[in-house]
Amino acid sequence: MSDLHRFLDEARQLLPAAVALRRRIHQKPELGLDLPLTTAAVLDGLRGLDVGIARGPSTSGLIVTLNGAKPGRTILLRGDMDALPMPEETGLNYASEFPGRMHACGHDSHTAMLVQAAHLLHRHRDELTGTVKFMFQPGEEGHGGARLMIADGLIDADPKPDAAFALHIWPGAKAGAIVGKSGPMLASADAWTIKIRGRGGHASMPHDAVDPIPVAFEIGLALQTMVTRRIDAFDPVVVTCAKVTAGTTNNVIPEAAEMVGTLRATSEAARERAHEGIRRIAANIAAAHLCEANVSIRRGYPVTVNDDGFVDFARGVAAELLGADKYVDRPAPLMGAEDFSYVLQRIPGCMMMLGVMPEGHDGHDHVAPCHSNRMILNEDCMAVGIAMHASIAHRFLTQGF
Amino acid sequence: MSDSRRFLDEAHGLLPAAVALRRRIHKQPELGLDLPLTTAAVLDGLRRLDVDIARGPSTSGLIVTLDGARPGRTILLRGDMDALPMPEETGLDYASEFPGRMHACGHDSHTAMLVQAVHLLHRHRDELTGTVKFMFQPGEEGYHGARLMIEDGLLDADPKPDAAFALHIAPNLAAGAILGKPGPMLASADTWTITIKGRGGHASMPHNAVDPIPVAFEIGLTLQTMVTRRIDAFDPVVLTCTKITAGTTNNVIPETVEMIGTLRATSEAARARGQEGIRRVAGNLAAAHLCVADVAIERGNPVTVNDDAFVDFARGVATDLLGVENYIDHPAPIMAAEDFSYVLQRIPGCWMSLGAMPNGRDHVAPCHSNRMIMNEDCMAVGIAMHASVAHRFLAQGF
Repeated sequence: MSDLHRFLDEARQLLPAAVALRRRIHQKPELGLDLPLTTAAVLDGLRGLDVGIARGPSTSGLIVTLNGAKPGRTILLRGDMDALPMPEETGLNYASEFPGRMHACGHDSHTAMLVQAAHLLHRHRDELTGTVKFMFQPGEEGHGGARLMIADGLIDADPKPDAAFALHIWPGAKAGAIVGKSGPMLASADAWTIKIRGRGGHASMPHDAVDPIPVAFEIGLALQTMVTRRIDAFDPVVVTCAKVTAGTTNNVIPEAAEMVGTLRATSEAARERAHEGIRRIAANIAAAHLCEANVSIRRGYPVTVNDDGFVDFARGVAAELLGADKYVDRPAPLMGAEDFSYVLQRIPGCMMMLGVMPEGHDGHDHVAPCHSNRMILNEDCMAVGIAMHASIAHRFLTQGF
Repeated sequence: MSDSRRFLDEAHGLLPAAVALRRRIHKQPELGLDLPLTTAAVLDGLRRLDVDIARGPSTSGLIVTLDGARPGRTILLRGDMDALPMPEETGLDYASEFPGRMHACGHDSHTAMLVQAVHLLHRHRDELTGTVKFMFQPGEEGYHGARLMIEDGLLDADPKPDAAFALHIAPNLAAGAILGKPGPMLASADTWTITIKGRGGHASMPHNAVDPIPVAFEIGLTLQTMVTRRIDAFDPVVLTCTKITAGTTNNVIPETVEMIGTLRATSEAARARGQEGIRRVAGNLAAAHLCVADVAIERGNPVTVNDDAFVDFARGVATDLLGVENYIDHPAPIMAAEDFSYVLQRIPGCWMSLGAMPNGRDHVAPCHSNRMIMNEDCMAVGIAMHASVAHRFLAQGF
């Protein structure tokens, strides 16, 4: 029996506490960078542990530091904490008490698993050679919480971590499975806005006006052609126009049309090429029809790149802990995005997915995904997550990756 | 001096009253089918005239009937009365007192001219062989006021008019000129709505959703190709998507897109072909991309078709009254629309434009602009034109 299996047994004992903490957080979802109720729940959960707690000025995030018996390597384990601005429609008896807010991305479970992982490793601190840092991070959902905690100096503080690991629950993956990939794991996510300005007029006399709406249509279609003609099919991007707004009524040609969308890429080269493409297409098609296009691209999270060596290491830990059949190598990245990418730009490590498919599903039917108003997860899987965090940390401090 | 010329002289005498009435109405614009203040201004303007006044249940519109000395033909002269829901920014000292409402289409002047035309013809009633009906109509701006007055029986009431005439001011036409055209003069105007339904999802994984937005874009562009490929270039339509609404934020693919627009045509054949094309393009492009399109077309005003012979007649009246240089034959219809079209479907007649360009200008803000202004002196021409058309029609027909 591997020495990791005891972590799985102990994690199962910690499961009731993890479920209770997760439900407490689930009931009171908080948004953005300042999460007082969630932070209080974490601090309650850590009470009685001999750990250091550091904070920064930009967020309510915490770095919890557990020192082992002997000095050595340092590893960072990360859990994000924030919810989404959307109504919950799960029908759960511990559903959100705050209208228009929901933990639909599982950050409640990430936080609860990380608190219990702190407990598990605290029990074994005498065996630890080195330091474990637990990063409780707010503002993952578009607020750049990880970047701000880095800017606050919380990640680089001595001892600087030698490796970093994060788990994200995934309702569409089999319960208790770990899903990983070396190299690019998640996409970059940039938000673009194209404003096309023409000249308003009467809808019956378009030749006296400069109608921006068909120009927006041409741009919207040409962007898709740009993707298939200018982007390497093996280094793909996704461009989606997610919102279009123009006009007021049936007999007035408006002055302007606005398109808003996202650009996803899994390499910086493809990302740059698509940025250029968006600007080129919008400006030139607008000019072809006597309009002007104003393009702004707000750079969001970078590509989440897993370290190949660390993925090999974590794959080995998962296979040993759970059995080889429970580790799944993803053939391709996911086009979702994560701000753990900022951490992985500084520290080698990886993000992996934890399967939490609810009971009664087999993976061939529809499971409400993350960000769905009906997303539910199999809470029992949190035991696997707790054990995985603890095993990664324990093994890394012992032997590196 | 022709008969007509004395009407022009007398109309100049009535101009101050027309200006005062127009400004009273301009200051207090009313919308839709029920216009109590405007109707009261008209009734004040008609006080002491020996006329009959008929009303209907559906609108506050009036049919004012002036009987001549002897029985004969009947002609209908029409002025519309309603304003637009838009803020006025003319800076005039008699600008709208009601925020968000403006007489930006000149209906205030149409009403004022028609009231003074009643006065002018009333003076000459002893010369009139027949009847003049004055149609004071609310709800022209999309409310189908003319159709409702017809449905109330006000147009067909005995004696039913043998001809109908209307004038509409045009701020960018030379002051005092009359512009007309035989056959189609103004377009039909139908409002269409296309709702494209796909399946929402995450913007990063479009293959797991059915994104309706590019489908809307294709439909919007293909509608223009449909116009150039399926519609006779000499019987044109204008198809404009004026509003599109879809989505909420940058990372969610929405479930639906709604497109709203207008279809203009100057023949029923082209109109029907345009409507079929909208349904065919939307339905099939949506199906091509796994979406469903719902198409609703709300039929608006029909084509305004001037009677060829009546245009000849009115052109003759205008050139006698104003000189040949002040009558302009428009070479093509205008893609705007009018509910006087409903009247012209029942009664032969015509709709003409009256130039009202302000002095010293060669371009001003057009009708429906928040800065539209007009040359009030031209109302004298309009009053004389109304009276002359009626007088001559009763005397000799068209």
